[in-house]
Amino acid sequence: MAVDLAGAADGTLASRAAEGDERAFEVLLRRHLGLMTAYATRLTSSRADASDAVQEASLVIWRELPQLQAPDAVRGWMMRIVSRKAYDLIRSRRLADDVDELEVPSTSGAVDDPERVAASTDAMGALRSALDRLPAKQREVWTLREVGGESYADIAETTGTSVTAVRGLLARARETLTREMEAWR
Amino acid sequence: MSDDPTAPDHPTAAEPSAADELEVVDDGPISMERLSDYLDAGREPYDPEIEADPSALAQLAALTRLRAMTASIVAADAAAEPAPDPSWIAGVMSRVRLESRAGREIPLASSDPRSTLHITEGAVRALIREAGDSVPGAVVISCGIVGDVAEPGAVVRVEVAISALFGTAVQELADEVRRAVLDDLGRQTELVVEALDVTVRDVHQLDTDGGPR
Amino acid sequence: MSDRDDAPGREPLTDAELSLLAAELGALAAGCAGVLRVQARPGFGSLVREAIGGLSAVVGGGSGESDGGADPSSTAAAVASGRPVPLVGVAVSAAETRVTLDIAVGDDVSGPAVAREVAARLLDRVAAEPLPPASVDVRIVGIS
Repeated sequence: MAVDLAGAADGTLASRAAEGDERAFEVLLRRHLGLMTAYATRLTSSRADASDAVQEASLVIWRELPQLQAPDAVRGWMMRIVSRKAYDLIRSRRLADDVDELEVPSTSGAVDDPERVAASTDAMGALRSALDRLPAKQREVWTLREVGGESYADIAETTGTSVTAVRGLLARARETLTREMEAWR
Repeated sequence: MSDDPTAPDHPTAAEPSAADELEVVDDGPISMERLSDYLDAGREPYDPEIEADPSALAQLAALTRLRAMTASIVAADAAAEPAPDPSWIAGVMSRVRLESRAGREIPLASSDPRSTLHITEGAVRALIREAGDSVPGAVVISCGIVGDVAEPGAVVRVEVAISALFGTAVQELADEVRRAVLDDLGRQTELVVEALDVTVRDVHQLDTDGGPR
Repeated sequence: MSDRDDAPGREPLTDAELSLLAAELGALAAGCAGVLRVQARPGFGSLVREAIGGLSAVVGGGSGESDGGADPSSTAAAVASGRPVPLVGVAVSAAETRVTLDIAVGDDVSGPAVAREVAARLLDRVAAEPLPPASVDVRIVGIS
């Protein structure tokens, strides 16, 4: 009977998967699938697109795991690949629709859940509403940083701007959000 | 118009307002960016200017609350995701299986010159993993074969890194893993193993489901 | 294929018959004690064309998903035989018949012994056909 990997550490699963253990890969994938899908959904504003992005990301993750130097940091590394694939999808849609500006869709993340979107009766609902009201660029950077855990350098590269601009956008988003959350309190 | 919130022409450059202690004075020294970085660094090293400024401290407190709320939202979103369709996972795994990591081909002896026989490095690694995993209290983290495996009869070194269940006697566990791995390698391969290093790289506990954590 | 008629020592088996033989070899291998699974060698078609010159027939080697596409002559032969592309690959030149396959074995047996047995059985079977001298390439890709 094979050892139960369901509780194994991320680093263990990543090392084993990098060396070819498909079972360990599946455990790792299932463990972070919710977070990855929620992230992709926020970025693409579409459940179908999010599912495609995460599926493509899963294959890239399998392929590139042997190159991951720090197996313990696999979660953040996987999130980076998810955002890469989400943006690929957004860009290809943009090319197809002939839209000039890369518009990251407006979403609080609760795409299919009107209950969650409407609720301002609790703090979390208040934060979701506040996020919805942020300018698109600020929300985009906020999502990449706070949900994806990505570095300023990676965010700058993804959004085609500078680290300085990213820090500025994030600072403004935080100012607005802290002000609105404190006002709500 | 500058993107820099500390620039004087920046749209959020605040007018001083005594009533609202949360108003961030962007043309002053303590910007939101600086406070965020400070919080990120765990408020280390201690910054006397920030720590002595009531407005900055209030902002830090608000930032901390925002952070906690953000983490809750992210966790809630992740948890709210429906369980994946079994066919979705199966689809990914079948594509994964097509890209198996065979690694190097390790020759097997054959008396018949018409037969060319090999075992893949990937198969041997899987064998080592299963042998190590079979020892109670051990979970293999990583394993490798060092040496020129392509040369029949060449001498190789095998390295195995394991995680040990908290509380088990580490030396005995490593020895048991070594025996189990050597046993299986002897039965299933023709590798000449001159050394087998077992390293305990991590420690785990059983989680409530009984699996290692 | 018209060039087959000009090749010296051409095999009298049609591609369809060769494809059926490959399927039978797969069944023989799967029937050996200790064999859990027979698999196609990824990239069989291109590998064998690089390794052997003057090939007159290439059949089997699976549907080629992992190397980006089925070997066209394998697919054609399978269609002609009325069966799916066999897992075992068989390549024929004037001088040799090369049989190629991957297997997974059980952990309760000796992998090398199983591989030798599979090779021997397949060689025996191919020897009964009017084909150039055969060689077998067996690779163990999994143990469980």
